Amino acid sequence: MPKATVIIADGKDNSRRALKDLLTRFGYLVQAEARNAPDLLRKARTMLPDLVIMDSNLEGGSTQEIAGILESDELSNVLVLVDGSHSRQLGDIAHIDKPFTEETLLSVIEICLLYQTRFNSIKQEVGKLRESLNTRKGVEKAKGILMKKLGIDEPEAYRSMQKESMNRGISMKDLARAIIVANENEIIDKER
Amino acid sequence: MSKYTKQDIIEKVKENDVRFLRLQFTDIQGVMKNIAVPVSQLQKVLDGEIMFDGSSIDGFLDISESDMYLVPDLDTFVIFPWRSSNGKVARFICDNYNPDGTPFAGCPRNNLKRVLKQAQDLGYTMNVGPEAEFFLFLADEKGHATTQTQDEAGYFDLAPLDLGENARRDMDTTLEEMGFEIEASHHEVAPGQHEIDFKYGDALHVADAIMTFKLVVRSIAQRHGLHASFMPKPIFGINGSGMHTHQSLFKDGENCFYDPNGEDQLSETARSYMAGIIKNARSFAAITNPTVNSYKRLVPGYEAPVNIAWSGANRSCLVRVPAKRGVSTRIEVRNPDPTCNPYLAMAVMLTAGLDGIKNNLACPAAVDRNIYKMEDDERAALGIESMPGSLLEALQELQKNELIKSALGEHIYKKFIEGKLEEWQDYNIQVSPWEVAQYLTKF
Repeated sequence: MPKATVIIADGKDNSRRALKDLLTRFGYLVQAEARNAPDLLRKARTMLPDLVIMDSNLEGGSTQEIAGILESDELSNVLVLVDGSHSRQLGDIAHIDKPFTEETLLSVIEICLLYQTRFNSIKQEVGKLRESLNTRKGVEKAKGILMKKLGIDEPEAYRSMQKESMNRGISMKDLARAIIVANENEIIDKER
Repeated sequence: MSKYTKQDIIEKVKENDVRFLRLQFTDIQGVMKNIAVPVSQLQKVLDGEIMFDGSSIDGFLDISESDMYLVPDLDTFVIFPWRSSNGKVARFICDNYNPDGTPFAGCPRNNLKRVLKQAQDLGYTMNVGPEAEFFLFLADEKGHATTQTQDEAGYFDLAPLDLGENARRDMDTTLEEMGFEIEASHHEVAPGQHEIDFKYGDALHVADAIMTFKLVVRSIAQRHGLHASFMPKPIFGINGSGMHTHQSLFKDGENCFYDPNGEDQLSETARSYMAGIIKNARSFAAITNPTVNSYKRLVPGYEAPVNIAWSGANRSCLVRVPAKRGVSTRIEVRNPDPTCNPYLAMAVMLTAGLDGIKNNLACPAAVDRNIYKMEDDERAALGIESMPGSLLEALQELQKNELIKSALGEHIYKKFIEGKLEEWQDYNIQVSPWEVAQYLTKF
């Protein structure tokens, strides 16, 4: 099992070869090499590597733009290898300035991947929380509609929703949405 | 009824943490222009107080009278689903206004509104459904376009997935997030060629949608390392890209093209409209097919219409009447291509159709045979004319037709002809690779 999958993006053949040797020696799988930005985007889209290591002088698009696309479309984690002159502009993109030692590069890569793992688990957690929050919001709203319509109290409204959800074999979330939509339609009909 | 109030928009902007606003409008050539302002200017934008220098836009104004106001159509507010490095961006499509508060005559969107008003006075609304085709090419190391399609790019054998299909799927979802209803999305006849169709709607908002569509397709292609091109005929010998334009007129919510008792269940209105399109087609070609390259697509043999006739099924005709009836009854005008300025294209096609209706023009008989295979005298006997063979011929035809000129208004017509004649001249003095290959060694 490789430690992680990587795409190397650099316009210079020598740099790519050196980096590939290094990464391979230390247990990474170099999935592909890209010579320019469009090439990188095409390859990253189809392979979804764990990490893209890109040279800041890559042709065909600004480093910020390309790194932004890779990260916002969740194609990969990005590490930029910077030629001293313009590192300040990179802001929140992970980068290290050239020259660096092999040890530095390897530990930076490890840190990138480590944070990526942590970030992913937090993202999953947030996703779950958002989902349950949305369900809760919907159920609250649907409960309110039932209480008003049927003149029942809250526990009763909740129980009847639970029962309906069981009987129909649909989730509370879907049931709540159905109640809300039905209610909205009724209002629209009345307005006509 | 408007979809959004100013207050709605202020709230949406805040809710979504929008950082920049893009004020878009389309110049006479059909190129989308935009002015980006920071969100702090929102109130000014909403009040139509943003000004720009009209003389810097091709075919707009002379330097002497350059101030122009941008008045946003609030219903066109949308937040781009993709992030730029500076945060979220929202856009408005705007109309251009003169400093004295009157609509600027050189603004194609204002002009379309003017023409639509003429239809409205007769009780008609125009519905349009476009089918825009485009090519996805590989972008090269500079990020520039090539004419290499990814379908044939064998070097990328690492991944069996079709890059173009992926990109198109991403375009579909992005368009849907922006409120488009995608009706069909598929690979087209030529390698690397794609088509995305979205639901029909009123002419003005569909023209807006076409401009947005092109922007989205280009932006998403770029994010996939590809280049999207709407050029009508990028490669000799394979099908070109058109923008077949389905159109119908509605009155009081009813489709006026449908008549359950008419011949082929088509109404007299539909027939006269078609007659108007057929009569004026040679003159509006300069607008619906406005580039030198457009006429390399309008040649026999590639499903592009050359002959000015109509039919139910025959795809060699200019106008096809799809089989659907009832509320979906419509005609499909097949010559326009995606380089056209959609605001101008709709204005001229509608004017041509209304010419047929107002003057009760008789519609010629349908031609259900393949016209590509007819002899010249056979075509002549049936009175079937051909579309112009070049941009120059199309421009000359336009110059002769007062009605189509009136559909553009004087300002747009003048600037359009000027610009296009120049474009033709520029093309004409070039020495093409074909000429070099033919003559260099022969003589």
